[in-house]
Amino acid sequence: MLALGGLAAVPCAAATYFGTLVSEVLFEPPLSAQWRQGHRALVDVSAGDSLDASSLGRSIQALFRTGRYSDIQVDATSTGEGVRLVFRTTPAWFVGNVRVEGVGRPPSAGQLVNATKLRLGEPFSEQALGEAENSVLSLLSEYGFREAGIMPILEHDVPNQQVHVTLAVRTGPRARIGALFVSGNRPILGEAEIRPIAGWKRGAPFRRDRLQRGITRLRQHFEAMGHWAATIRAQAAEYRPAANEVTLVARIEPGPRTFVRLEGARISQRRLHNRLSAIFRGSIDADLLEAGKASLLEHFQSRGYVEAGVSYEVATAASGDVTVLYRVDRGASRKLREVRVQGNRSFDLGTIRERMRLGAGGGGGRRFTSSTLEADLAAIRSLYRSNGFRDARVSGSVVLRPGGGGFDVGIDIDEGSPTLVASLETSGMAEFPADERRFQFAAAAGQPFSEASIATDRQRILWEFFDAGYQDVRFGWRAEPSGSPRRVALLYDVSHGRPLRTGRVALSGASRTRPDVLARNIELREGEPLSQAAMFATQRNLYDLGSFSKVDVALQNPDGAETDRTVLIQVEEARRWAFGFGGGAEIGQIGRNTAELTNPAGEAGFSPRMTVEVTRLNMLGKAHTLSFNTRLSLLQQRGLFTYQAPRWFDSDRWQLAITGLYDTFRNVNTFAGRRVEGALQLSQNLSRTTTVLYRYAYRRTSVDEQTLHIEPLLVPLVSQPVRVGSLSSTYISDRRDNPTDTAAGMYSTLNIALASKLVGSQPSFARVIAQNSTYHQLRPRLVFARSLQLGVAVPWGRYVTGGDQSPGFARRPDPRVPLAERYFGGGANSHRGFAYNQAGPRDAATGFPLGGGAQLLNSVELRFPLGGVDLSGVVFHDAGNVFSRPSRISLRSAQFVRPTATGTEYDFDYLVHAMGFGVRYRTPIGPVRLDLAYTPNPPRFLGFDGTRQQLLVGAGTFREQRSSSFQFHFSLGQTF
Amino acid sequence: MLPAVMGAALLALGTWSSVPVRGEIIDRIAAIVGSEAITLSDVRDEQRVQAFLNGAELAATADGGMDVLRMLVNRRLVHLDLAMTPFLVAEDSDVSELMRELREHAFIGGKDFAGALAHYGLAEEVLLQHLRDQISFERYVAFRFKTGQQVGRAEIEEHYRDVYGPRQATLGLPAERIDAVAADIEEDLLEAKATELLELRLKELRLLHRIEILGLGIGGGP
Repeated sequence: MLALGGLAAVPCAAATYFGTLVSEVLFEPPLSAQWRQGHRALVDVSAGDSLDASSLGRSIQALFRTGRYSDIQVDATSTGEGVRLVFRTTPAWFVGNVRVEGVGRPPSAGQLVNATKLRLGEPFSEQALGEAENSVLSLLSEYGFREAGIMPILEHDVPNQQVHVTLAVRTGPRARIGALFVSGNRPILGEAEIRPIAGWKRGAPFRRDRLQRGITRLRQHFEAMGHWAATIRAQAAEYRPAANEVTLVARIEPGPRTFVRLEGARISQRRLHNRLSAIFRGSIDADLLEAGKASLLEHFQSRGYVEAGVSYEVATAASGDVTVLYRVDRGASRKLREVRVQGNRSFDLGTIRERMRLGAGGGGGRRFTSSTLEADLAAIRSLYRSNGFRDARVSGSVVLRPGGGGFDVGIDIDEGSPTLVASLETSGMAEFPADERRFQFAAAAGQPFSEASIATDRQRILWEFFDAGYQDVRFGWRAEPSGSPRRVALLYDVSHGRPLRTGRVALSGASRTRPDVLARNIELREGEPLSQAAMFATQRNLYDLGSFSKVDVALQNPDGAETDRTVLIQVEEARRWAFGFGGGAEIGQIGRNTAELTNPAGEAGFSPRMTVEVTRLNMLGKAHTLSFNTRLSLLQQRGLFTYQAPRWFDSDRWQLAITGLYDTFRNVNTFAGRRVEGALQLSQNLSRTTTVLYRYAYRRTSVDEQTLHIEPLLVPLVSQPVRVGSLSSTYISDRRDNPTDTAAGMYSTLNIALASKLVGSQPSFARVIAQNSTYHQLRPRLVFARSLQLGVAVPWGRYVTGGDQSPGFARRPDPRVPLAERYFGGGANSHRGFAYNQAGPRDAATGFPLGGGAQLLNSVELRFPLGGVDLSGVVFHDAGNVFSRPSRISLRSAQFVRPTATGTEYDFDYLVHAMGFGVRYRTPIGPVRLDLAYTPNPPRFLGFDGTRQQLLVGAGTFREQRSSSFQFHFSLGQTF
Repeated sequence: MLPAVMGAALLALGTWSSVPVRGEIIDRIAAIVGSEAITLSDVRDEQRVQAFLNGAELAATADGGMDVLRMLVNRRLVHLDLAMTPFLVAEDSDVSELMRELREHAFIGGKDFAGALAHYGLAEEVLLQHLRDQISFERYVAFRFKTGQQVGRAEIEEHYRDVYGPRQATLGLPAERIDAVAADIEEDLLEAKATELLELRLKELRLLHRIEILGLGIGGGP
């Protein structure tokens, strides 16, 4: 008989105290206010009791199980009134913030902290600290720091029983790659060949990732030589401190060469390698040969060879080289004509088809393979079973059409009868303080018996319990015969422990953030149920402030038996200053303002751009952000201050932004100007997809008289600085699947702005811009997109900023709308039939754009794949223009030109069409695009050949000009 | 000056008097295994149970206390391992059967069961728990380390030649024929293998779980 232990006996002098009267029970150190009541109640000994050994043992166990003590001793002293007991406790410590300092990347700080395995809130011990140090040293060693040393610095946070751990690392120099020894049964390559292939140059810094990359490169090299089953291992074998070098040992077993040949069909070597190398990597056996056969079958089936057959032979040469010969009988190439589904009564065809890949939109739907069919059958089975049709049978077949005319896939469904829920009962939920509305179960009497519904209910129940502080919740269910055929009685059985409450909430790591800001974002309240939802929400709120690079929320003492749990919130404040630099260029007909009047339609140009951004995070400790952004280019020099307050009014729905802008611009070639603006904007997130902006802006815009390319008589008036104050509101509904490269969804905006004396404006006008764009995925990667944009500016009052008011044939923009406040259009992100800001009315004397009081733009695009995953094409049609006034919006496509007594009058209020094509190349920051547009009806206008001086003195010549019919645009992101 | 000195003295006296004077330790945490504590009371109870079952008198010294503590640590480790195979844990009926047998047993000094319990200062619940642990442990060993174990004929012969024969000679007893003692040898060998495997498993468990021996005496010493 095995036994744990042997005999010994230790009675003790303490026995003399047992059975005597307890006069007093004390704690040393005294219990803190936080634990006084709870921990005192765990002690099963009170004054007046007869001292009992088992009660004392139970008390120690109960106190220890709280996890708050690492040691408990009870001592006894005889007093005149009995025995005085003192519980002498040693507090337990828990892991607080963990940092590893002094290591240059790699490894990263995150890798190092993870390596410590010290988790926030878990018990801290010297043993755990020692293991953490060893793990960090081991990781550092893998990254070449072979002489690293660690000095742990412990900071004890006594009130919260936390230990903040800082491992101060002295890394020493990173070791270099030294000698390389190559071993293996049949070495093909020596050290000299392997080093350059693997990138293990002598003297290169030794790092784990370099070692792994080298192994991968070697494997690829050997595969390319036909050694598909090569095994390659490499490790750092020895460190030589004197030379600070690591010796590498690579063991290479090339194995036999594998030659794969195909008979009966052709397939490119690259494709063959891609299909089979992953299968044959490591070894070749009967199963893998079958897998290769299946892979080839899939290849040919997907190309229409639905009757294809593949067999194989293997020949091994004396050298050990293996030749695998796959014989392919492709049969005739056929097209998948139809996917027929029959036998479905309870689900319509649409519901079934949306779960299938065969016959779906896009090229993939016409590609038949056996595995695709099997996947579709499984998806249909799953649909039926999850809706109570437990006996449903789904089968598929391929039916060849006679005469080589393609083939059909038939899917036969035998639904069987559904099993319904006769009744639903619950147990274990009586204690839960739920109002019944919370539990609108997906499973219900009379509904199909579905495991999917049960899974939904399970998730809902668990979530509600977790939210109410129950941590150890288990959900089980049973379905029993109800007595009626195909009816089951369903029982949900929930078991759970006691609910936990939030005890102390201990926050650490924040030194600059104001406590009230933190407190407002913590959704855990002392005494309330310990809700996991509140823990997640707290973490999210704090991250959303943008002031912290890391936020951890954890329970302290997770395995302790406490009801009131201390929640630890550990934050790491982000750096307060952030700097960003960027560069770029605009290429195209960018219409930059120059001294010449000769080219009012703009000319191809190049404008380099530089951006600098400085951001100060967590201003005044309030988690607000102040940023300064500059943009310097030939078209624009801009400085923008922004002060942002997220979670305005303590709500994650409101944000405040105050901006100050100084902008000199020459992006319209008619004029150059300067704008100074201050604005206050409130954003309100109504839902995940809907946002409303409320904005007040006050700006002073001045136009440089020397740059105005308009009729000289109007220059003094137009060049007057104008102050515009406006109140505006913008409604944004964004239901796009991907804002940078949308495939499906809708995007709508409505902006209404009012400039009036009441808000400090000199001119009075209202401006409305509405946009609606929709995106329809016709097939995978085939997207039809359309967008309609309409804008009007309606002035009133007498303030006139320039421009004539002639009621003639060709109306000019209303002079009550200042030049810089008008609509300008045309360019890569607007009407692609125009160069940048070249749409709309033009000056009668110079032909330069004047802007307008309205704009209409309708765009449609068909976006399609061009080859490869990243390359796509687009054909588009843009129709629209900038119109002189809202009342002049017209769908007419012809431009009216009328001779007058003084010359020729040109009308610009007509619809300009542009059609064209473009290519898009997907990048991580959005698609890069090039568009070429052709305009059949570009505007004609009267231009002037000469300089401003010549215009003033009546020299130079007037000449009818026409915008180019061809425009090209190079830009980033889709047009809309 | 005098009032200040007196004030300081009174303050010191007050502070001193509020700190409980250290008395004799009568119970404490002796070891920690995982998140469970083993107390000095547990060690004493185990010693009483062992003495009760062996019919031995309780010794009056602390000798052997650490052995019992180490044994209790191992038992806790086995308990933690048993969590993965809860069906091995003894049920009430199993323990009752063993208790019934014990009750019929004659104890030290001819005492009856209750008298013997009183003699050793042992509570019946403590004994019940000990028996439950013992049964669970035996099942654990049988299930984990004996199931599927086999002893070959060669091992039996080797044991007969190298261990059994010399032992009988040393004892001056005649050696039986191998076939007569093969079953006993096989059982001994199985037991030895199980013990070896148990030791290996305990080593693994010691690495898996936190173990701290705080000691049986004052100030953490053994």
